Amino acid sequence: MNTAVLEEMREKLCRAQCVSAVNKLIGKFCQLYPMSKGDALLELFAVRQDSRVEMLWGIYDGYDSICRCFTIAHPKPEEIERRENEMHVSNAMSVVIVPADDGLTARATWQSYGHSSGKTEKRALDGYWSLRNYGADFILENGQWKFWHLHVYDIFLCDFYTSWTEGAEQRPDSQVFFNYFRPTGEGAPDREPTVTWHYNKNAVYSQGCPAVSTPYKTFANIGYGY
Amino acid sequence: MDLEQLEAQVSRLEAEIEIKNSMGYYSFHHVANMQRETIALFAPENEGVRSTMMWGAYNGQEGVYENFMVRHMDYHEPNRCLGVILYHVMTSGVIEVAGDGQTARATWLSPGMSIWPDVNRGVVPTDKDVATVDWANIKYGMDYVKQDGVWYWYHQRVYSIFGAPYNECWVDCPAVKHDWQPSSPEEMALYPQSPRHGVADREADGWWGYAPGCIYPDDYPPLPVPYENFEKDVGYGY
Repeated sequence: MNTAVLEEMREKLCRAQCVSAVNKLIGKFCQLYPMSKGDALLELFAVRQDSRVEMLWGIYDGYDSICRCFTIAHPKPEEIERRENEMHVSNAMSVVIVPADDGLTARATWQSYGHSSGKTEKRALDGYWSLRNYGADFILENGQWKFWHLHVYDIFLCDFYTSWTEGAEQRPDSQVFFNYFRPTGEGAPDREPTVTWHYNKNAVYSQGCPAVSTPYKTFANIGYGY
Repeated sequence: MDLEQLEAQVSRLEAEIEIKNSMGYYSFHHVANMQRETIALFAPENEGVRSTMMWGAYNGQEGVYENFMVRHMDYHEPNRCLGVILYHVMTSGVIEVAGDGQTARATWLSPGMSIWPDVNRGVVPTDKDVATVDWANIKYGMDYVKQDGVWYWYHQRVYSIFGAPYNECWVDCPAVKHDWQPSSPEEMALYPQSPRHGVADREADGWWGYAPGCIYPDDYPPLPVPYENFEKDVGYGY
């Protein structure tokens, strides 16, 4: 095998390894999140000032803010009282992963059929079906793939006993509902969410929430990312 | 990178693809009660294989056969499969292939639902139409082994998240540990296909299911981490 062919094979291998690594990051995020393992979640993120997490209640800019998100806004493992009854499980499905041509970044979108349990405005203990989409950018940091930007998009969050059509009708401005979960104090987000689309009977499903990942050359080509 | 290194790294990626496909095969076989095909996912002639359901662990080739062909229901006996749907979707997988490329480990989240007629749950039916229709949200912890160039299942372990009737929220209906081991003569009689009557070799270690006041458990199962060799680094496995 000549050098040129070997190099081409090496590049193809790198792309396939990127997809494998990103799949693993997504799986780890889904499995660790309900365990309240903030420190383990933080290991999945790039330690950068331009790293970002957009939760349904707001945006955390930079790695330090992401630390606040996963260790203050969310309970620590030892905070038993805060963790009691809480169970928030997302399942990564329909995953689309696209590595950049330059091999330095990657983008992914996935759908999630999940469930949430815990205290809500209405009841001391409630169970919800949660349908969501996720969009994420990934970056190579010291040879390891890491989350760079993670954005959670709501489709609906409806309590078990109420249809999502009825629930949404009762609260057409569903963002009010998510604001109930917005942490205050040290766990507060840096700014408001950029997307506040939630299902209701009069809404048209929002295109581009997120735009599905498509082939690209370098991150500079796609702008701000998810 | 030379050709040998390239081949080794490609092999690791191929392992992930084969492993992911094997989980997909399981989902499709399991819902269709295709138990012979499910058993074929386990490493042949390997007495270390194990299948651990929420009600108990089945060891070795005989145990795996007992679990799927007796304790579950096979489509070759359509009367036992009436109304049965065990629909478990594989998502969010984390796969680690061992450094030596001979074994692998993975954990998966699995939302789903199940319809088990009483007779298949080891319960003597009082009404032949009775069946439980449940949300079945579970996880899988898996060990895999490469044998004769093919990736097979070594250990399968099912972990509960919640199980609740379709019309009742899990927060109002605490998960109950499955006590689905036939014990009375009447229950044993439901499984005449083998002298064991579908009984597992032992109880499953540990159990958790969502209930009011609970704390979502850490490391149930622990996520796989990079390892070199199954015997040295992992021990008994999932």
